[in-house]
Amino acid sequence: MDLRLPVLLDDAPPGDTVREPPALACVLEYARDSFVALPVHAGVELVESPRLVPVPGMAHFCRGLVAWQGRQLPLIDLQAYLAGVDPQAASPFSHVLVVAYQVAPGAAIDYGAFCAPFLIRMVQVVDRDLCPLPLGQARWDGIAISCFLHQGKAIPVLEPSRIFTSPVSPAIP
Amino acid sequence: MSDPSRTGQAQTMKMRGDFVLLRADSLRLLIPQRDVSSTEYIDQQPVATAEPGVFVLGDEPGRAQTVLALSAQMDLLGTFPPDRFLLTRFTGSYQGTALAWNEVRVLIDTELDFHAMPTVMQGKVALIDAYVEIDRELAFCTTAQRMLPDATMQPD
Repeated sequence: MDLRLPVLLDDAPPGDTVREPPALACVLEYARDSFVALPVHAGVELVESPRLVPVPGMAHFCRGLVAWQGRQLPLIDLQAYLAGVDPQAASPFSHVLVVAYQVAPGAAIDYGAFCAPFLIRMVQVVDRDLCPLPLGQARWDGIAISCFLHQGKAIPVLEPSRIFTSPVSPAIP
Repeated sequence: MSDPSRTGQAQTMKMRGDFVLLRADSLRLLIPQRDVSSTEYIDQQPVATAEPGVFVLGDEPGRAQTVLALSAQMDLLGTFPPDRFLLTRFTGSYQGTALAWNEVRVLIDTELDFHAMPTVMQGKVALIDAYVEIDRELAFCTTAQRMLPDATMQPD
């Protein structure tokens, strides 16, 4: 799968000797100073101003269907999905991040999209960065597969299939 | 093979039949033709009633026609849009209420690809089952029952 994300690669700090082989993660700032990560193979493409069609009666955290490569993908606003924020109050966005997922090994690849109001970064993660999931406004354990520390912040790693196969928001009321 | 109910993504099914394509501004809906009993022009301005979003046509006692106009989110509009000049009436329990549209197209014996709405998008009220692409634009598949509020239903 082609990875065509325009990204910034965070350099390791000077003098920091990495002893373990690092893995790459795609970090999305879904709201001001709020981050999630995706496995690097999950981030497929960052699309600017895609055609968006709102759907009557859709879940409050959905923005509609976005056209991408002959498909219509559900677009999720993670700020509304994770924190229960009213979509009207969520950060405006001009890009969407297309993500790929599989519900099971060997199953066909499906696609969805997240609003991307801020920069996408690729960061290097090593085992010693692993940390517990944060306590916050979302039940991370249902949608995240791990968590790592980056620049002092705990960043949950989302499993997109768990999001796109359920209409239930993990936001804690 | 994966279980389609677990993929969350649109499943596609080809269907041939008779449908009616309805447009209210940017909203495009596709319903089975059997749900529609008649279509006609609106030749007078509907009058607002005391109930928000409900309008009537005609002033003969007992013969006034209840008319509704939908927004892009399928909510009732409080002000009747002047460019809604077509009226559809429905069969069954909803025959007492009509909806107003900018455009009504009947599609006879037409084959369409129905894409199930992705699981994650389903809200508390299921208004839309699927979508189709007609003339390179999306139309959402629904029924008269889902378009009309329960308050407008009349006993058969």
